[in-house]
Amino acid sequence: MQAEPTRFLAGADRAREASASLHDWLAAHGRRPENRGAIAHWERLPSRPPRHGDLTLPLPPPLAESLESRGITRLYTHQVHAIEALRGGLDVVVVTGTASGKSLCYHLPVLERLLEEPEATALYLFPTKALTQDQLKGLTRIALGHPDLLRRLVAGVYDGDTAPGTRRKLRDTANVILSNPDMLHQGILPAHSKWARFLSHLRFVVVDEMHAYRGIFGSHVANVMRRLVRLAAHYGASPRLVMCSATIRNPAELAEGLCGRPVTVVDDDGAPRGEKHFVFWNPPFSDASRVERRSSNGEGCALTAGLLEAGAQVITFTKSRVAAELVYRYARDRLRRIEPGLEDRIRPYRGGYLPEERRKIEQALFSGALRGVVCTNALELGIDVGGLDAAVLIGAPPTLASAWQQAGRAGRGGDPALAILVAYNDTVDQYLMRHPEYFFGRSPEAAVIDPHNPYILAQQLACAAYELPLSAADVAAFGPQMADILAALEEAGETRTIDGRAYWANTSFPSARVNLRTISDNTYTIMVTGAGAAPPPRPGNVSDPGAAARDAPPARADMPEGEAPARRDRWGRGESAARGADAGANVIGTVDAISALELVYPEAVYLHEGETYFVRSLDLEQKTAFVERREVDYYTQPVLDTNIRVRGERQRRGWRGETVILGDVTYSWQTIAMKKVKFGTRDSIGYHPLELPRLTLETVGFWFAPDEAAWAAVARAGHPPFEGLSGVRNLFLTLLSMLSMCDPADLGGMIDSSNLGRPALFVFDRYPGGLGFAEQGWSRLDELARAAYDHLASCPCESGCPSCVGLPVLHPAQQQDPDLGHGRAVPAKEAARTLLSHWLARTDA
Amino acid sequence: MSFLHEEGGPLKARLSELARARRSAVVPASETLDPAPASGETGVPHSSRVPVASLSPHSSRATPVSPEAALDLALDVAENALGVEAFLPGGEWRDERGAVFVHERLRSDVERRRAHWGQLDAAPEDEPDLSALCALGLEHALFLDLETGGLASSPVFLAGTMRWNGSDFVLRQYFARHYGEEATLLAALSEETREAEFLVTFNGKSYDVPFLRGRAHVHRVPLAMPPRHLDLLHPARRRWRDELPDCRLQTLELRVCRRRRTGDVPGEEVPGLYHDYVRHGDPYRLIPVFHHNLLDVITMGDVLGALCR
Repeated sequence: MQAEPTRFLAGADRAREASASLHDWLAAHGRRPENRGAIAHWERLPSRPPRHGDLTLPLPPPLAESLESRGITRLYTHQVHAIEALRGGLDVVVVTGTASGKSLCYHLPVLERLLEEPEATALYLFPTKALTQDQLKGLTRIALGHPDLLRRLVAGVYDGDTAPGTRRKLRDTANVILSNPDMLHQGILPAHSKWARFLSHLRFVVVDEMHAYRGIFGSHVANVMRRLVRLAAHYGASPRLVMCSATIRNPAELAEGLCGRPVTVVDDDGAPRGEKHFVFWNPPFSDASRVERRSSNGEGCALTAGLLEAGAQVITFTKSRVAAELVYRYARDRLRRIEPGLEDRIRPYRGGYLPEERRKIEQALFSGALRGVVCTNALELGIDVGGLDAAVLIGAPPTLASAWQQAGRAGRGGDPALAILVAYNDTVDQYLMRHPEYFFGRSPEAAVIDPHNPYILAQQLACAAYELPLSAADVAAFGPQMADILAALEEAGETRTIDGRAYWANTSFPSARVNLRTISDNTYTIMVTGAGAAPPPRPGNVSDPGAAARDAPPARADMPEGEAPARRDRWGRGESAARGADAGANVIGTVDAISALELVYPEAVYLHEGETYFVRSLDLEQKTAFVERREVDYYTQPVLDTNIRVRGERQRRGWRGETVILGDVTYSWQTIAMKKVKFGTRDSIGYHPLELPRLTLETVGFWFAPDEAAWAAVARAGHPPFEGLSGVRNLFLTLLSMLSMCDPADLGGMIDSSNLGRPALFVFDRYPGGLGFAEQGWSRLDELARAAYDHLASCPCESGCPSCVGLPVLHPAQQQDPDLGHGRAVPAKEAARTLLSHWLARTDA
Repeated sequence: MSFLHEEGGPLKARLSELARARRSAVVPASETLDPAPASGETGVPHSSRVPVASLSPHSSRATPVSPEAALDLALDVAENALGVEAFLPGGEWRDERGAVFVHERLRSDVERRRAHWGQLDAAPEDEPDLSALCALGLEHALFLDLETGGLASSPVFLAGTMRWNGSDFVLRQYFARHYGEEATLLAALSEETREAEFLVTFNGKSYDVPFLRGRAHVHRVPLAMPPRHLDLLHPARRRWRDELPDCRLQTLELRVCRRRRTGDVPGEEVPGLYHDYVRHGDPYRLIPVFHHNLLDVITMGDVLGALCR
């Protein structure tokens, strides 16, 4: 719940009037001749009044009074449903919009229980430290509303920053502990005997921002949750689970995957909504060739400055730290010219700020002293900045859920708010521009996890065995492969089974080796040597990897002006996320083994935060790449030799005349050479063979080989078939990453004839054991194909472009310049379209 | 754990058939086959001095043994048993959970008797716990020192105790021969601790007692600690802080008790030695841990005497 911001400045009234005319300003701006066509879509989301409900049994008086003292006399429908369900002994996932009072869905049941049962305890889990701090404030505010509550509540944050003395006090006396999955995994569960009191009285476990727990992180967290429940049960407790999620396609599925049992969905959102205008801004083409568009950063900046000049308070989100700096500087310069004085009232904001700095910014936004903030996704979650007049999103964030959260920053309950999404010229953003229904309809994004991925499970079982010996009773939680995996652990000398119970048999501490965000401990560290060592790491948050990741921008040569959409976890989390004791001043990042041999091979040029580093050496034993800062005028591209092999089939289905198989594949690759490419001209200035080992990845994928009829259709139309299938592959990969909320780098795709004797399209997860993404694609293939077709059909390019069928070598290696595909075919748009329309015209078998 | 390049890896299907010998009243159970070393449950009577057959390390993964052959094999194995029991005589203590190995000796068996044994002259005035103990008498005290896996949730595998029986010190070591015996270790230890009035430890207030309580809670074993606890670390510090470089037990042993250890095992190696023992059953490297534990407890007795002289 957010209090009304107090305003002290004269500018406040002006701002209020301004917001009503903001969309007039935008409409006018869009009508200017140079901006013709930029407004791709304008969605008006009407206001909606609140819908309240009543609890069958009212809240206890101290709680009701505390709420009343803050102006809350009735609860919204979803709050009522959640509380009733929890009281009835059900586990709950609340799926409602931003600023809908979700946190009361857990604060109230917890406080109610504390009043009844003084010994009761509750554990709150958040994905970032900043959010944790904010929710502690929220909980404390409610407690302050009545002396009974204040007397009863002993709450505190228990994470990496908590002082040792405080930790002990919390362990011994706290009844509400706020923490994060990493701390739970490494700091709490392994030392559970010190937590006996807390665990034995555990009544509630709260998981906020549930949708953040997907992919590798989610798969690990699902197992951490099972370890928690197992330990609580050992101490005699059976807590209720309360989860809160942004809108995704499959909240029940994700919730149940995370906790291993059925969960009740509460999604009847009764919170009021102010009117909001959501505008899609697609930078116009920069010239008649209609291939390149104007810079999105520039467009976003102009919009930000214009809104500020029109009197609005604006928050602008960018996908990388570099972009945030650029936008901020350009906006400041422009404002200085047009409205001197105003340029001092905007600020950049990045992850890694100290809490005091953050508070200052929040207060300044509240009071109105600060008019504009340019930030990365660090400000996306929680953080109480109240409501602003407008939000500008430069580049679509990785998921719709994020986009809605960012857009949710605009809105003051009452005045119509404005959110503008400025598109980059890449497939995802352009797809959104042309398919607003994807954005505004029912969420198509599914959060995918695979808690039983054997590599993840093996790491988690090691941690579980350390905590309490594992036995057959644990198979229900950890899955039927538990026995096999334990056998493997035993062979490796990690565990020992005695009398049917698997004990930890090793002096090492397994949780310290397990990183919840990677799938194996095969992480390479990137270390700066020589003169020009990197600046010391920011006081970053290990539990806030998203911020650092989004702030690490690789340049993609097909983006104008070196703008760089951010990458996520796999790419490396920036210096603040360097693992364990290596977090010294000269470690600038980590990258996992799968990518290391494509990114930091010897003599590669590595891009970090917009600066070039030269890889002096790559130590395969120590898993370290030694780089040095160097100004170079070229970049490098690995040349890969790849191979895919079918190992086994899991399921097959018929799809529009084709047979599509889901199964296990082995993908292997080797960096065989390197190309040097000059910046700007893109001339190739060198080609050097390399001696690097061949890597193998055993994973899950789906594949199908188009049948004769499909090829014939393409041939008849006179298009090159292989190039067509290549285009289909590129589209599938991008669209699948959207549908399954993963990063395009998490997927791989190949066209290969060696397995089925004729060309087949393979799509697979780029993680050992698979994570469920390819499986999503296999089961939603129709959706993928339709989306691909629609996208092609509406792309204005002639024969293919980066934003539709893409370029010849689609590769997760971030620094790949796909234009220079080593003799491979350029994907052909028409051929791809022919294939897709051929399939879609056939009925499902 | 490197899964990326491993051949096979955790997905490899394992053929595992755990053939487990049944517990029988007469025949010592033959070893459990396959990866697990045998459980501590055997048919060997408590008072038996025959080394417990079930811990032979060498016959693991053998083919299943037919009942008739079991007896012969068991006897064979008994002669070749190489558990610590072969070196440290003792027996099993059993409860409904399982068994634990208990080794007991008199101090006079391992050391030449000295006049000052058992002597508590007078406690310093400003040490109430010491005074109380002196007043009560040494027979009411139980010395305790633990050897553990070293980490938060690792097990306690060796508990060494010492008490004064009026003329000699009785030294006992409760030893969990594998991880499954820890619960019984705690139960057996509790039987002894419940009889004593005064627990005497070195740094036990911070470490040993909380550790035991934690492990007892995890195993749900009721643990009865003596009503009073004297942690020698604190009076030792007060007494010798200015004279000695530090007040570690081994420093006190050297300087106050004038005993020098040779070939002692470093503390940080102890957990690894235990895990190795459980895996391989080789006692040679574990015996020094028993010795180390023994000397620690004996030293505590001497330190107490020195404090009360």
